[in-house]
Amino acid sequence: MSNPQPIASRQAVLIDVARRLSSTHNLVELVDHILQRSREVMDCEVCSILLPEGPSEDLLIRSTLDPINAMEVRVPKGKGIAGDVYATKKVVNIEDALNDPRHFRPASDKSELVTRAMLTIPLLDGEHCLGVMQAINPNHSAAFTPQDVEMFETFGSLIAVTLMRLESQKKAIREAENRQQLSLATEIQNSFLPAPQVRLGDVAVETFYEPASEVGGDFYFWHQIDDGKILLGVGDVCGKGLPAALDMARGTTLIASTAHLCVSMNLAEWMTTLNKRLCGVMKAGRFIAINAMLVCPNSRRVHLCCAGLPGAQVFDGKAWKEVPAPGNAPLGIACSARYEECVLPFSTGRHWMLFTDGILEVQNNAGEYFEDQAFAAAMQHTNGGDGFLNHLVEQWRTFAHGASYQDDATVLTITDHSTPPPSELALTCHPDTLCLVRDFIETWARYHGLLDDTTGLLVLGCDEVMSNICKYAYCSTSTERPACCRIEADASSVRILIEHHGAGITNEDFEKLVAPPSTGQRIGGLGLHVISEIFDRVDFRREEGKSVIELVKSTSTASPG
Amino acid sequence: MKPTLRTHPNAAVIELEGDADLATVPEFQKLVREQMKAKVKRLIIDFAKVTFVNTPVWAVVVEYYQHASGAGSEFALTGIQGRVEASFKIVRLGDFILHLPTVEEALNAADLQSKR
Repeated sequence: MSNPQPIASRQAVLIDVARRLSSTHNLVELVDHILQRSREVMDCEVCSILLPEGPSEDLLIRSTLDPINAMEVRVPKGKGIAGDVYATKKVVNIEDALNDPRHFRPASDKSELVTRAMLTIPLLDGEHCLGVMQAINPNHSAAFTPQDVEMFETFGSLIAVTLMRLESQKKAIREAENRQQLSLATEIQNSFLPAPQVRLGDVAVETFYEPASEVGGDFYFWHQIDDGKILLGVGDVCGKGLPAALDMARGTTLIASTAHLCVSMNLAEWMTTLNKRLCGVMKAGRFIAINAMLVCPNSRRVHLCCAGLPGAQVFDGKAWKEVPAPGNAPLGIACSARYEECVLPFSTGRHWMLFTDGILEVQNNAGEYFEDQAFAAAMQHTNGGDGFLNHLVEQWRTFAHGASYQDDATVLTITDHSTPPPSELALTCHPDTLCLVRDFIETWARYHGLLDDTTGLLVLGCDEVMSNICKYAYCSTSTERPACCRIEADASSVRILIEHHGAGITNEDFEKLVAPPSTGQRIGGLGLHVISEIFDRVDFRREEGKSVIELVKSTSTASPG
Repeated sequence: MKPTLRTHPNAAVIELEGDADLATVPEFQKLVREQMKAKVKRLIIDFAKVTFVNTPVWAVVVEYYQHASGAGSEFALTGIQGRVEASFKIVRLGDFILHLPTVEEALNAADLQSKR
């Protein structure tokens, strides 16, 4: 037994160790440093630190005895004096450790150390035990003194604080790494999405996309196809997190690789094809809900196919309305599923909107769903203005603020910036100006997405009316031969008003004059027959000194595909 | 649109083009009436290049049909398609007047009356 180290000297070491502890960031380096200096502090033969490792919480021994470190000796949870101190969080100071019933020497410990006196202290963070430290065989006495215990506890508390600091740093690094990985995942997922805003000719596309976490199962897409058509839509993969994100990547890739098929197939056929391909690659129980639109600027018609998401909305100039489209099953469930679409004139509305259920299903703190009242209120408030998406998103965010649950949310809007053709034509009635009426009707009907057959009949019918006005309403000597043609449409019919200042006929005249064609009929009757065949309603009347002919034809453009 | 006349050994062919409307009628009617006076054996009116036709034009056709029926001339329409066909169906002239796909077919027919 050597002479004891002076207390002042041991305290100086303690202060020096404390100074060094705050500058260390590496746990292994720290532990080695602690151990080396702890022997000086405790003036003993061996010092060890035992820290729990892994889910079993076995204590891994790190010691000033190199052989022990090399052997990676572990004390099973609850075993030995160290295990006891770790569990009870109480200091144990023993003079003869070998004869203590709690003494446990791991089989893996092949060191030649003969343990006599042993001081074991818990490293505490409040009620939580971070590990234990042991000092073995004091140099200055047969056992550790109360003064030794006090010094070791002081030393231990310094170490506990340092271990906590390191653990906190480690956790922060781990969180930063996780954040970085999620940020990368977000970036990767976003790479599967096209630009959030785009102008494709007269069509402007805007989107709002907000996954509930860093990655999500929602997506949107738009693709301009070679023949000028635009395929666009929103999708929602079942489930959340990474599996949903991977299926989202799969879905958007398949959509991109099949979009060109819309040149030769209608939207319902394309959805059927996409469904078959998704069924071939989706894992059991997984599916994708998609609402897709195919905008055809040339024919001025829109195809809509809804498969598992809330109905599309259209602003018809007065209010937002749900588009009456047939419902279909989400994609990826049944290979044999057939999809139905509806076809509408693009001029049905200036704004169109597709969205996922995350918009409707968000709940506020009062337990109300956005769908209940707020959605309709937000939509109608915008009154079809160009900022309606921003307004909707703002209202949605305000509503969802502080909500405990939020799904991925996506909105895609389409705005038609084309200039509508005039709906009124004033002209002087003359055979040479009749072509103006035909062009007027043709241009208007094409813009409003009427079928070519219907357009042809409207052109013919109006020309017949105007020809009769030219020939019969105005006498050949009339110099002033004004006429006006107006046209408008609603969801189910087209209405044309033709006004002139010549001598008109009455509905009774019309009934008498109109007759089935025959080679013996006079000419005027044939024209009236054509008019009566083309239009569903014809009304001749006088209004404010003018002759008015009202022509109404029902349209069947909104037919299932 | 100006109607054009082509003469063949046994037939005259009036060819219309573009929009056939009220503005076309005077010239078309003049040409048709000239064929009545000329007592052509066979008249063919070709609509293959016509994009639009209305009843004043059909009335001229009917006028010639009535003449041909009394004069024993042969008469046929050709090339009726698209919107012209829609108009032709509404006025139901197909019930009375022979119409063939092409001018060549009408020219080569031995007897147009027997084709009806």
